[in-house]
Amino acid sequence: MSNPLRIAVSEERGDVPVTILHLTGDLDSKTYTDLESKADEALTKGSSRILLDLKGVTFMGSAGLRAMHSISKKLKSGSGGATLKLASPSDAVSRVLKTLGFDQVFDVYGTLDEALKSY
Amino acid sequence: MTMFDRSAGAGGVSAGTTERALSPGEATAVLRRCDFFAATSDSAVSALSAVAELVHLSGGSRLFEKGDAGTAIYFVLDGTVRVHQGEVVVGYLTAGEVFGEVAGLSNEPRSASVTAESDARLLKLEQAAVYSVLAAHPGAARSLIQALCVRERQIIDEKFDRIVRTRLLEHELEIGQKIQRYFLPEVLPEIAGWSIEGLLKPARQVAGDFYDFFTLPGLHRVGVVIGDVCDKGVGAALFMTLFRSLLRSAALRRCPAGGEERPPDPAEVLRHALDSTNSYIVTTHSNSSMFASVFFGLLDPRTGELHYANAGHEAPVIVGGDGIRCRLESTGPVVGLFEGARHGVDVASILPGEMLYGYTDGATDAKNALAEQFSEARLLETVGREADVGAEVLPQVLAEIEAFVGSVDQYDDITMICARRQSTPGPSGPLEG
Repeated sequence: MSNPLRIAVSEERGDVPVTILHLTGDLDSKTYTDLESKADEALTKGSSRILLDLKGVTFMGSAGLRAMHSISKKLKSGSGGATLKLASPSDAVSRVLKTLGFDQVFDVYGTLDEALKSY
Repeated sequence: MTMFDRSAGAGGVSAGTTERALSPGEATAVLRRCDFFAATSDSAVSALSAVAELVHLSGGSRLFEKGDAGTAIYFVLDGTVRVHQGEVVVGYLTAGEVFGEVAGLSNEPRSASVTAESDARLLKLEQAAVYSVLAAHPGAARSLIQALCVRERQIIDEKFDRIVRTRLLEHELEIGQKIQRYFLPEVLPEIAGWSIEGLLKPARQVAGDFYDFFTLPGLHRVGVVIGDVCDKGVGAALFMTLFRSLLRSAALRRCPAGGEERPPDPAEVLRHALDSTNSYIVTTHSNSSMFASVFFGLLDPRTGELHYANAGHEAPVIVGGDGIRCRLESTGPVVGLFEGARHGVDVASILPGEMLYGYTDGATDAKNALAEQFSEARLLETVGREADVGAEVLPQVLAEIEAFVGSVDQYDDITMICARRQSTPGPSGPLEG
């Protein structure tokens, strides 16, 4: 029924190091804890900037947004005080972000390059 | 007498170093200490140890898979093995414990997989060798049957215990479900010239969705609410009761019956209800990251005027004879997450013959066996069609969703509300309910 969530992690080592979590599949009540766990791993390893690549997200449920908010809070309370950034949402995911007002709180970029340049 | 020394691993995985084989005396001592052979004669145990094989299993390697044909019994000499079904661990076994005896003596498929948690050494008794020893030692057969009966008794006791605990949990959830129903309006307001409907079909015993209709006599308005708490299950249900109660309480406190000569501004009542609820959740429950999308309207049944704030909820619609006339889009973010969030208030009107219809995403996201969603387009097309019929709308819409979904399990709560204004204006009386 649903597409399992896969999360690949990559590091962008520019002037400002950024951890990118590339998501593929459904981000919903069954999978959001996987995203939280991956983000926690990155934070534990010292990442202070996390970017979510949403290009492969096929379904975004409210529980996924809950996970994003939770990650965002942890990032803000960290030493870097960084905000969570989102890249490449599909039209359907963009609509969810907009309807629930998350586009006003998170920085959302059309492409991964645009998001990386913003750091 | 020969004691085999064998390495084993799953899928051809090599299983570590070979160590000195156990002597028959050592093997006998091991089997003697095992409860499984407590009633077996010394001579039978000695015969069994003579045919036992020593197996080395390196950490992480698989001994057998669930479903494999069972052909042997195993005893843990040292190390730890994990009994599991896929990713779910059933238990861990250490020195002195026996496993695989049911499938191993019956050729039945293995009921679980076994993998070495750490490097482990096992004693293996092949089925044929066991039966051969039992044929030569009739008394041993009886003791083995008794040992199997003891194991069977343990399994039955555990199963009964699980059933009792599951029933207790189900009973608790049933109580929770009943209590949660009291957080939905027991009786919908009777409003002359209007028909009001609300429907909630939870995906599990308890739901994170909610709806509410309540009169605000001091304002001569009807509060119309539909909301969806993020996530599902018990956690969402707890927050559902909180959101629903805070919103209703905040609105009512702003417009007490006969409390003021001049009624309060509906827009101000809505802003206060949403902003104060948001503020409370953000400051008191910030660690939970729980939030709700909420549509909150204040309907004047005399004129059809509807003040509303939409906090991140799917846009309710006003449906007329020509279909969807108006979408009541979001006027602010969801409630409970963002400190200082402010919500705008818009005004719409429901004309005679028209209907306000609101829903949660469980209706649009419902999937059939082909993983196709019911979709907003299909939902609104259905609503437009049913709005013309005249009977209750929501049960008909739900029936269409259920027909589309078929036998697929319901994934999310489905909640819908509607307020239909009759074509012919009815007498305007005091609000009740």
